[in-house]
Amino acid sequence: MPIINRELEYREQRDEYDYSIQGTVTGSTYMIPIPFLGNAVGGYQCAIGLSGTPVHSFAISRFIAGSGTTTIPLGVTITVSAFGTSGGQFFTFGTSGGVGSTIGAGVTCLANDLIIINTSGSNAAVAQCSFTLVIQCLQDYKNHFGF
Amino acid sequence: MALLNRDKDQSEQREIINVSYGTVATGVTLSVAVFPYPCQIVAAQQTAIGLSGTPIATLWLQRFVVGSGVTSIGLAATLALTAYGTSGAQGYSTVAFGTTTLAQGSTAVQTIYPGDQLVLLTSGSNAAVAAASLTLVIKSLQDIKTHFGV
Repeated sequence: MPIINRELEYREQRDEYDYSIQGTVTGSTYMIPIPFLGNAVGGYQCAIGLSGTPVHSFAISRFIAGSGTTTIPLGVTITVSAFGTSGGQFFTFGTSGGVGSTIGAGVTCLANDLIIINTSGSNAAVAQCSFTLVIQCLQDYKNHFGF
Repeated sequence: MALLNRDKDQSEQREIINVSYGTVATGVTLSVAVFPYPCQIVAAQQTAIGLSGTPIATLWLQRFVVGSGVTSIGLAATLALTAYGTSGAQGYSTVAFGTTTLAQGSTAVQTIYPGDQLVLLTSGSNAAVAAASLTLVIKSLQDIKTHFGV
């Protein structure tokens, strides 16, 4: 009998999504697609080479045919600090009742949703930034983008 | 007894490779990922925002063989990019990757070997993208999975 997602302990149902973005600047948006119905648990961010005081905020961008995109704030805004100064920065989604929160900590996202990172700050930039998101798949039989 | 790759349901044998890009210009070759084990690409999804012109993205596989150099293998996977706010995420054709026709362990080009590199080529007239992401869904073909041979 194959092992399927529902047979895994809930911590084993989690996947990591690693992103590395070079040269983030103020006023930009970067995207992380979510392949399945999942629970966005949280993540970790590391940055090196800061200029000014960059700020990163996270949201879900959901596209619906006919009505376009909807942006759902995730309630996480981070003033970025350099890894060499403070190490990485940990954050969780939905702990303050973010939209779509259903099972305690975490936010439910649908397949094809994007978790977007918006950058802000006055004349701020980051030379290199990496994000690791932890997503728990909520499907009994996991698929990716419908496959 | 520990769980092996072959013990898992087909859908559980799949893993994700994600790449996010900042500004992507026309006529560049981007290294997307190096594959760690024999696998097939099950699906690939592209998103883009901030389009200028009509950028086109094409996926290729590059295989390096000592003594003979690099072979580029076309995957017949090409997309004219549209903005996420207009059309949502775009999927490359799965037929292009041979997932509907090739058996597990096939030696045809759609079977990817450890060390193979996926590259993304951009084209289009004066085209650019402010930010893009590419997500690959791959399926390991090994019963007992290794990474780069270890």
